[in-house]
Amino acid sequence: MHVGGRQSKKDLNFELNLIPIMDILSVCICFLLLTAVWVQVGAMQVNQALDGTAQGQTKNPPAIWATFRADGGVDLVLKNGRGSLSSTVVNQSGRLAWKQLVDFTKQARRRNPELQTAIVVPQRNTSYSDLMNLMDELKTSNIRDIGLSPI
Amino acid sequence: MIRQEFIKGIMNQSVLGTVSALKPSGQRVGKSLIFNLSLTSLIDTFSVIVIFLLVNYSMNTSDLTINNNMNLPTVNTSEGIRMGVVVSIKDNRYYIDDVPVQSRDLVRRLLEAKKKSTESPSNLIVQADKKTDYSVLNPIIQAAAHAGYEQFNFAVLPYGRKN
Repeated sequence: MHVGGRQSKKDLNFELNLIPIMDILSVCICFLLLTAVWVQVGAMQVNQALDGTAQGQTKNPPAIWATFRADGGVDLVLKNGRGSLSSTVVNQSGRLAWKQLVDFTKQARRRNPELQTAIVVPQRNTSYSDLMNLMDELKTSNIRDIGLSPI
Repeated sequence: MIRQEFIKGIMNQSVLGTVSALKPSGQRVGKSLIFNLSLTSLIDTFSVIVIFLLVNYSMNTSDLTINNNMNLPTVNTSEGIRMGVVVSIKDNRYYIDDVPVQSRDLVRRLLEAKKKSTESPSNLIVQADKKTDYSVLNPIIQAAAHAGYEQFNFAVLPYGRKN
């Protein structure tokens, strides 16, 4: 910035003071960094599982019943569908073999293309993590409506 | 005296004028001691960061607080969380909207919370550690069924890796 001095011509340069802008941006960044949410929590939506008895004259849709066992495995049964189908997801040293669930779902859907429902029946010692993983695998297999049965 | 004149001479020079390549103005008294810092790129960076943080701030719709000691289960398919009545389980104790509740009072408290809730009153959000047994969750499921809650949302962390 010109301070004093003689000028024969009027200086056409205009210099903008950027210091206040920098201050405002720094304050905005500090505030937004402190209030930003970096971990977004999602949700696994589950409906209430009815007892499976028919209501009135309506026919129950085909559904996969996934029942947890005491040893941690899961028994899968197709109910109210065309043909009977059953399988078991084995617990191999603390890990469930989800591929068996995927294969079962594919078979069930081949016989019942309208299959969209699953009912999960846990046990008292069923881990919450295993329960969520089972629901996650069912949702990945395009089973939209999942019901959770109380003990 | 000479030093003051020297400094004054340098101060009288325009910062923009000395860096101008077309028509540099000002008297050059040897090498200039003033280092001209260009702030344009820094302001561009700051602007981009502020815009990103503003967009991130406005997209945040959930208002759920998670306990530090709680490890939520991780899944691949999850949906956006809609607000409702929040039930959390910490150390096998139940909390409804951060208020401790006895297991025998669950139905009554859930009914009260449902009446008070303005956003999605029939929506129940359950927060629990991934190592919790279902025997601890079962009273909530049963009480919520009695209280008329239609949907349960289990709080999870998205993009999980299968164990």
